Amino acid sequence: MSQTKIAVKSGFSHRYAPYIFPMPAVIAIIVIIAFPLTYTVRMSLYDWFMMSRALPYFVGMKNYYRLLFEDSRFLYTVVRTFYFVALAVPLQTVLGLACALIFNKQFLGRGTLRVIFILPMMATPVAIALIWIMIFHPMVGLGKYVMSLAGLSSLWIHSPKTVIPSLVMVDTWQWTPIMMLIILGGLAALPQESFEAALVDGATKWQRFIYITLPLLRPFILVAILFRLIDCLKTFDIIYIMTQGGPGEASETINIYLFNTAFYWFHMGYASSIVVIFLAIILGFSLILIKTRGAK
Amino acid sequence: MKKECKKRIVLFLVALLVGALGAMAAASAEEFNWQRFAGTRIRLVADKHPAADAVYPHIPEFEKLTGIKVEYEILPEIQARQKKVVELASRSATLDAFVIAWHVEKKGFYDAGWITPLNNYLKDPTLTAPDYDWEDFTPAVRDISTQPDDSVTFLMQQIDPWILYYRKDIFRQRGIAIPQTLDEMEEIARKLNDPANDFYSVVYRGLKYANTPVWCILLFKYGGDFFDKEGEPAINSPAGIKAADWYARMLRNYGAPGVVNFNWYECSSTFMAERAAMYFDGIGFAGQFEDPEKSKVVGKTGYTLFPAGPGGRYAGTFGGGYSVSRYSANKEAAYLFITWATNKENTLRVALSGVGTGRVSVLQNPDYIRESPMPSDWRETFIESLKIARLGLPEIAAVGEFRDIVGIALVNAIEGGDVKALMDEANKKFKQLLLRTEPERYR
Repeated sequence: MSQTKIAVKSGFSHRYAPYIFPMPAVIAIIVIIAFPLTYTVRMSLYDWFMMSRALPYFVGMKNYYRLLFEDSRFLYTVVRTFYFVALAVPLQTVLGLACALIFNKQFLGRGTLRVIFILPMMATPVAIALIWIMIFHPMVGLGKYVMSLAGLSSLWIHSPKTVIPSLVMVDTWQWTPIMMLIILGGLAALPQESFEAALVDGATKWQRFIYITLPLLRPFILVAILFRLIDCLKTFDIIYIMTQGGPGEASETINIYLFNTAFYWFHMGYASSIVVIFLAIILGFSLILIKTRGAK
Repeated sequence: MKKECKKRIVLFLVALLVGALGAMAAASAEEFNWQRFAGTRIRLVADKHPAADAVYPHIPEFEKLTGIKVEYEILPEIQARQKKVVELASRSATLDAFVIAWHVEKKGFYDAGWITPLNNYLKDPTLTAPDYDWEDFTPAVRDISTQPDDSVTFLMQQIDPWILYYRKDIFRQRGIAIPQTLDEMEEIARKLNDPANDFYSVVYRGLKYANTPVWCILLFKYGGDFFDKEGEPAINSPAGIKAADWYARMLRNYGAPGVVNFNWYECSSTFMAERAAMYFDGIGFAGQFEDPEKSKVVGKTGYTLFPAGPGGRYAGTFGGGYSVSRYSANKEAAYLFITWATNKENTLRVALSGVGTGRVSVLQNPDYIRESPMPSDWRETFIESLKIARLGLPEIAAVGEFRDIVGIALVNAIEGGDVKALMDEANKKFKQLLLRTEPERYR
């Protein structure tokens, strides 16, 4: 008798457990992600200039039409954002991989050097940006002095031509360590057997690297690239502090344009439509990368 | 019968007493009383500024005087604007007063219906302290505080006309007179420029957005305005193009390298490091030039009006003032606070911190003349500037975006773009901006 009762009870909890246990997480996700997202999508269909008596009014897809077909400034920000990413991510991947391989070796002072190497990552981007502003100062900056030693001159962030590469340099200086840390973790987890087998077969160092290390590291490198890619697309702080998108529009990325539209010019509806497009871009990239990671 | 009579007399006396008390109460209500709103709490959002640093440490005096508790938040201008806009757009009743950066927010905030007009309060002797003296503000200052419909929308905290800073030691040494016209200034710039030694004739803002006021002031000097007689945008008028051309030509030929990214900070640090002969910016930045810890140009800096152009001489003006929120639940208490913060005593405190203020009595106050950290030519230039003061940006709702549009055109002009084409393009964008943000203009 008592056994059947227990069976009934467990039947009840079995039936509802899948709904009850994830409930707190579902509620949290709705509050933190789904609501703001839906609200933003809804806002993007309205025209709302905050500094006027006019209340938000529904305009349908007009914001999107203007954004994609009439606002050349926005399209340039997309191009610039991709330019930034295309320079920064490969550079950081190669440097991060190289550094990981170096720090994977045993040598004197490795621990100390590793700590020093990851220090930039620990610092606040705002503080870093302020330091680099001084380095890039066109008259008294260290950057000018270094270039003059090589007999060159560069205005760094003060010229439309060199501003994005200069910002990429700062971003690389700060974020290569995270690339290195992820790949280093991967290196430590590699199975030693394959290397021993290769050694027995007489593979050279280079062959071992190309045919064993790299393929085994691939998932780790892809994760690292995914992280950096999304972060680079979203880069805001260093650009905002160092150039505010200038000179002119030369370093205005999607994020800077978005920020200005919302918080300098107070066009909330239009800014929301930028957010939605930007989200679509980031999601697209993430999906491609996740797919690539899944494919063997 | 006797009793009845006594009763009547008592009643009469009581009535008389009540009447007298009532009359006394009425009389005192017509007099100004600082304690009238004792026990109220008000909240204020203010911009970070030396003027706030000079006054806010004295807020406990106001709290003691009035029994009103003041809570305040001080934020940098841009962040303060974001906070104000968000709170006002959501009609928050807990924001009572705020500082507006009127060169940007004057029309936008008023048109959005966020500001309480102060005209009736200023006329009300029970709300305005007898010694407040609104007429003590110079006519230009009162004019700037007033909207086109005659509503007074803020009380002036600080006013920052733009002037020319120059190296008087170098000018004296080379026998150069202070430039009176834009042409003379260009001629001097040609003589003094020495890039081989990292010394440049001029420095002023090149960073987009920040640079727009420089052009606006030049526009006035070339006789132009933001709109033509029909009210259409006219920033590509011959005056507008000449102003942009002068602006860009001077920086390209005689300006410091990298100036396209210079805001006031980079400009003033260049000037203080003895790398520029002339610097054009707000008068409020002068304090640091006379500070030996920061500056190499202490005692070497001359202060004068920016040269005149063919269209006359104007001092473009910027600054901050106190407004009362339309949605505040304690408007009168908030008003009491903003009159206190801009009264003669506090205006003197602001002035003594090296900031420009708009009260005649303060500018003529012997204490001020004696104790001001600034040299006499600074004070004379400031007083002269107030006479020719003119709001240095257009009075439209979307000032920020306007600054961006013109600012980008100016940067491209410095980089060598075709000035006329750039200004034509900017004017087109300006028109589109007005259509989007102020459609009522075109109805």
